[in-house]
Amino acid sequence: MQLERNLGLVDLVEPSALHDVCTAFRELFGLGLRVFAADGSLLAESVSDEAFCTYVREFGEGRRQCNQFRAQLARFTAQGAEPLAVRCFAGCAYLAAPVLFEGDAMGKVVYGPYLPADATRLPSTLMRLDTEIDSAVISEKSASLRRVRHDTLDRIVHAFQRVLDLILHSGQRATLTSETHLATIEESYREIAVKNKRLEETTVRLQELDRLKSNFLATVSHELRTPLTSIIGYSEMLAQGLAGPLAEEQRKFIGTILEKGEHLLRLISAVLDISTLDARRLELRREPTDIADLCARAVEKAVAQAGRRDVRLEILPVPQLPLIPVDPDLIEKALLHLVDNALKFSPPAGAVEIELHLTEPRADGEASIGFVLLAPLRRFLRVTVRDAGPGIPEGNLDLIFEAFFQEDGSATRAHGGLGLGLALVRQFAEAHGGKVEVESEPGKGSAFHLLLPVPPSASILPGAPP
Amino acid sequence: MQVDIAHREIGLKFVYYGPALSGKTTNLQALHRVMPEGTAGRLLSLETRDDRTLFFDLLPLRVEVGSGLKIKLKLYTVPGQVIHDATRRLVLQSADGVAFIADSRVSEIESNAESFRNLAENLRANGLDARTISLVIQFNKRDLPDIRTDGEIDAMARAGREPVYKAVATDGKGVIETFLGLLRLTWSHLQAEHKFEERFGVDSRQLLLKLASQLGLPKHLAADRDGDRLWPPPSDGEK
Repeated sequence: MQLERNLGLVDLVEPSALHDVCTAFRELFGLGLRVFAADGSLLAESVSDEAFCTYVREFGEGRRQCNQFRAQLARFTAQGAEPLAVRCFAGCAYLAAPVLFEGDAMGKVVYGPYLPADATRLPSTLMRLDTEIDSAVISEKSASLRRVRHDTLDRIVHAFQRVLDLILHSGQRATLTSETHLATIEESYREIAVKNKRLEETTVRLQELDRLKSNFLATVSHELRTPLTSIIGYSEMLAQGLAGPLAEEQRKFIGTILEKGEHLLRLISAVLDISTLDARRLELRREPTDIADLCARAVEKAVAQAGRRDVRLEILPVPQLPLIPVDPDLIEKALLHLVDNALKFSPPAGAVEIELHLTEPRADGEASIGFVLLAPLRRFLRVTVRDAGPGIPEGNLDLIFEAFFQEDGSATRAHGGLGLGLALVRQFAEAHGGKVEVESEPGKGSAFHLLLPVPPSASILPGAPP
Repeated sequence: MQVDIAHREIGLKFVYYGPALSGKTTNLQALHRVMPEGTAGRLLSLETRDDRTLFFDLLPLRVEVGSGLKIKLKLYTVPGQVIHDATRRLVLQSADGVAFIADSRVSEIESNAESFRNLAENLRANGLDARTISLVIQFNKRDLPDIRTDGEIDAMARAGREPVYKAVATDGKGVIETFLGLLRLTWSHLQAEHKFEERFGVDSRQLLLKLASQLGLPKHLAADRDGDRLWPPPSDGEK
C-alpha cells in the first residue's frame, strides 16, 4: 500500500461534483472560476460568456491574443501562498489562488474575468487591435463586466478555499480508507497464498509417497508372481506324471497345491492391476480423440471372442461427433472391459450393440438454476454397450462397480475374472471427469453408458452437430 | 429490503454480479446516462487506477410512484476478480435482486460458470438462495466476434428458469431491459410475500408503469402488452 503516495486533486475530488460547486459559487457571487490541477490540466470550470470578451474575440487579433492568454493562465503558477492578480491584454483581471492542502500546492483556482472596482480605463492598446473596433461598443460592453472590490474578492477566495478544504479532507479520508482496505485484502490474500503453497508442497510430497507405495506394490506382486509361476508349473508337471507315477493321495495333494496356487496368482494379479491404476490416474495423456474410432478398435480386438461365443458384435450407425480430449489408451481399455463384460454375459446367438450419442444437457429441478450459463459444461459424449444377458438385479446396480465385487459366485467361475473390469471402467471415466452408468432389466439384458465430458469449445468444431 | 411505513418508503437493493470485465460497471454507467435528472443520484465508483472496480459501484435511484409511495433503489456492482471474494460476499448482503452479467464470448463460458457458482455460494453464505432470489441473466458484449449464438442462448434460456437478456452495454443496448426485468421480477416476488398492494393501497401494474415513466424509460418498454405482464418478455428467455 502506498499511504505515503502524494495524492493529487484528481485523486481526491470528483470533477463533476467540483463543477457543481463552482457553478454554485458563480451563481452566488457572479464571478466565474476555473480549477486547475498541479499539472495545469483543467478539472472544473464555471464561466459565463461575458459580452465584452465575446466582442473582443470577434476580431482575429483579439481571438489570437485571448487564446494565448488562456493558455498562459493554465501554465501560470503563483509563487507562495498568496493569490496573484493578472490582467489580460484587454484589461480584464483574473486572480490566481493556489489550492493548498496540508501545506502542499495541489493546483490553483483562477477567478475572473472581472474589473477591479477602482479601475477607470481600459488599456489603450485595445483600440489598436483592429481598425474595426468601436470604442462606443467597448465602453458599453465593459460596463456589464463584474466589478469587484478587493476585500470582497478576498472573502470569496477565502470561502472557496474553505469549501475545497472540506472536500479535499473528505476525499483524502475516503481514498486512504479504501486503499487501506485494499491493502488488507491483498495482505490476507498473500497470507492465504503462502499457506496454499505449503499445502501444495505437502500434497506433492504425499502424492510422491503414494506413487512410491504403488511402485512398491507393483514390484512386490511381480516378485511374488515369479516364484509362484514356478510352483504352479512344477505342480502341473507333477500332476501330469512327468516325474513318475503318483499315488491317488499324492495326486489329490498336488491338485490342492495347484488350485490354491492359481487362486493366489489371481489375487496377486488383481493387486498388480489396482496399483498400476493408481499410478496411471495421475498422468492422463490427453489428445483430441475420435471416440468412434476407439470403439472400432475395441470391437476389432473382441471380434474373435465374440465369434467363439457365437455373439453378434456391432457398432450402430455413428452420428457426427466432435473430437474430445481424452487419454486414448485408457478409454480404449475401458471400452474393451465393457465389451468383454457384455460378451461374457451374452447368451449364444445373442447380440452386443455399441451406440454413440451426444447428450444435450437437461434442465430438471435443481439443474435449471443458471442453466443458460452452466449447460455448456454439462454436455457428454455417451457410449452405450448393450447386451441381452441375464441382467442385474436392482439391488446390485450400485455394487457392480466396486473392485472385486462378484454378482454371483458361480457366475465368476463360469465367466472368469475377479470383478475388477467395471471398477477400472469407473476409475478411467472419473479420471476424465466423466462417469459410467448402468440400466438393466433382469432377464432382458443390460446397458452400460460411458459418459465423457465434451468441452464447450468442442461444440463449435467445424462439422460438429448443432 | 427496507420498509418505512410512516414515510411510505421502500428501499430495494440490486446487485450486478458476474466475472471480471463482463461489463457490470458499464451497465450502471449506461443506466445513469438515461435516468432523468432528479431520479438518479451521483454514480459512486470505487475504482483502482486501472479502472477496475475495487469494492463496488453504487447508483442510487429515487422515484415516487403515486399514492405518496417512494421507492429508493440502490444498484451495486461487485468486483469481478477472483481475489475480491470477501468484498463480493459483503456487497451481496441482503440483496433483493441480482442481475448476472455474463460475457457472451465462447472463451468466457468457463469463467461465467465459475462466477455463477461463486454467486450461488456467496448467496448461501448470506442466507439467500439462488433458487428463490430474483435473478436475471444478461449476455453482454453481443457485438464481439466468437460469441455464443443467439439460437444457442435462446434454446438454453427456454430450458432454464431465469429471464435472459442480450446486451451491448457500451452502447446502452439491452441495459434498460435487463434493469426493468429485474425490477418486475423482484416486485412480483415481494408483492407475493409482503402484500404491498394491500399495505400501501397501490396497484402493482400501475405502480410499475409509473415507475417506468418516472425513470424516463421509453414507453414501448413499459407498454402493457397482454394485460398480464408489465414489460415485454425478456428476449426469448423467460418462461
